[in-house]
Amino acid sequence: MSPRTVADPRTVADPRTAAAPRTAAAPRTVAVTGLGLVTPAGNGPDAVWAHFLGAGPTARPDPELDGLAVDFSCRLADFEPPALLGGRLARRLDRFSQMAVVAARQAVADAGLDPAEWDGDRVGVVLGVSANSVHTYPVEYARLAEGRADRVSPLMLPRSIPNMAAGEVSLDLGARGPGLVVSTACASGTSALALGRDLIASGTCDLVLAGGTDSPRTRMTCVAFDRLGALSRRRHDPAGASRPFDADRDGFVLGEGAGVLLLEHPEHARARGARPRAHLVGHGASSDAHHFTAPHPGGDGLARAVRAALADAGLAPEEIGHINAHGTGTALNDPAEAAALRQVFRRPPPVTANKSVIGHTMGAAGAIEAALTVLALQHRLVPPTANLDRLDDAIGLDVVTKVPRPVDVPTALSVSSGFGGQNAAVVLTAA
Amino acid sequence: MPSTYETIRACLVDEFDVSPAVVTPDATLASLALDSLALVELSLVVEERIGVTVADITPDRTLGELAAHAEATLAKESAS
Repeated sequence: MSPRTVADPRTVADPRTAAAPRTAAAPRTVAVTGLGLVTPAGNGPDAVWAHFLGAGPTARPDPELDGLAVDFSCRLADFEPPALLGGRLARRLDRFSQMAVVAARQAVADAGLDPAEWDGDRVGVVLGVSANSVHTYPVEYARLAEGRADRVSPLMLPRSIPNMAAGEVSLDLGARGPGLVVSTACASGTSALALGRDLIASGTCDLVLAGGTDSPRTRMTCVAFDRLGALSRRRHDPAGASRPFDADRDGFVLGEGAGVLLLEHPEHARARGARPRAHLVGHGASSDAHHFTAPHPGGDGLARAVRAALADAGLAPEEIGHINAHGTGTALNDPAEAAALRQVFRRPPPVTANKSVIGHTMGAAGAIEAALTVLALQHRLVPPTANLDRLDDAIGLDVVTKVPRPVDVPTALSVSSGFGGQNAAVVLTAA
Repeated sequence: MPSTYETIRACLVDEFDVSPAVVTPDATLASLALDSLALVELSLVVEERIGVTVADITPDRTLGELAAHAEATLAKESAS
C-alpha cells in the first residue's frame, strides 16, 4: 500500500480561520451570557431561582393522568403558548418546541442580544431532547385508528420530529449556524451544552443557544415509566414524592420544561460589553456499556465522565465547590451516582438535587440544572434539596437540604446520566 | 350561537394570527397569505368548530363562499 500524502497542518491555511476571522483563537472556556428557563417552578431565571430557594416541590395531581396508578406530575403552572407565541406558531409546534422557543427567546433577551443585529451565520442551536413529541403522536394515531386518515394533521411530521426543537428556535431567532438536536436520554441537556461549547471552541460559532427541552408528561409515558418501576407511586402525597437521596424514595416524578444557556465566545462577549453570568470551562462524557437502563452500580461510567470534565477544565477535584447531582430519586440511580462522586472526590463538596422540586424533565434536565448551577455560582448559594428528611445510609454525600447553603468556592459541576448508560458532566465557574 | 362565517373569522384571527382588518366575507383565502399547509390546518379547525368536513378549501374561495359551503353541508347532514 502506498503511503498517503498528508499535508502538514502547520503549512496549510485553516479554512475555518480563513473563512471566519471574526473572533480570536478558539477557547476551551466559553461565557454563559444568558439564561432561559421554562419550568414547573416558574419561567425566567429570577422567578425560578426565587422558587428554588425554598418554595418547595411542585408535584401535584395531574388531570391528564387521571385514573392511572401514578396520577401526579410536575407540570408548568404558567405557560400559555398562544399568548407567548401567537396562535399560529403555538398551533404548529408540539409542546417540546413551544417551550424551547420561549426559553431561547428568554436567553437571548437575558444576554442583551438583538437577533436583528447579530450575524446569524455564526449563531448555532443545540438542544437536548429525549421524549420528544409525545403529545402529538397519540392525537394523530387516534384519528387514524378511527378510520379518519383525512383528519390527520399535515403538521404531524413537522410538529413531531425531534430536530424541530432546534429547527424552530433557529427559524424564530434567525440563528443560521448549525442546528442540532442531541439525544442521550436524561443526559441530553448536558450533552447539548458540551456540543455547544465545542461549536465555539472549533471556531464554527460565536454564539450557541444550548440547552434542552422535553415534556414527557403524557398518559403513555407515565404508564411506560411506571411499568419500568421508575416512578414514585406516592399518590397520597405528591408533593413528597420526589425525594432524591432520601431513605424513603421510591422513584422519580414526571416533569416538563426547557432550559437554554446562551454560550458565547469570550472575545465576542467582551467586544460587546456583555457581563457573563458564569463560564463553562469543561465537559466530559462516557458510556457505561453495562446495562440498557440500570446505571453501573459502582458509578464507574459517571465517574469517568466527571474525571474527563475535570481534565478538560484543567481542575483538580478539590477545586470543585458544589455539585448539582442528577439525583432522580430512584432506587438505583442515587446510590450509583453517589458511588461515582465518592470515587472522584475524596471529600465530595455540597450536593443538591433539583429534581426534588421540578421532577424529571428528561431531555431538559441537564440544561435546567446547569442553569441553576450558574445561578448558584452567581448568588454563592446552593439551593436545598426538597423532601430530604433522612439521608439514605448508602449515599455518603453532603446533600444540602431544608435551607440554602452559602458556598465560597466559585467552581461547580453539573452531572447527568441516562438510559443506555450515557453520562455527561459540565464544569462551570463564577464570572 | 355565532354564525358559520363568524366562527371561521374567529379561527383565522385567533388560531392563524390573521389581522381582523383583512378578514371580510369577500376576502379570498389566497389574499390572507395562508400557504397550502395552513389551508389544510384551517379545514381541520373549521371541522372541529363547526362539525362539518370542508376538505376542498382552495385558495381562490372567499370566506363568504367557504361559510356558505360549510352551512350547506351542515344542512344536508342534519336533513339526512
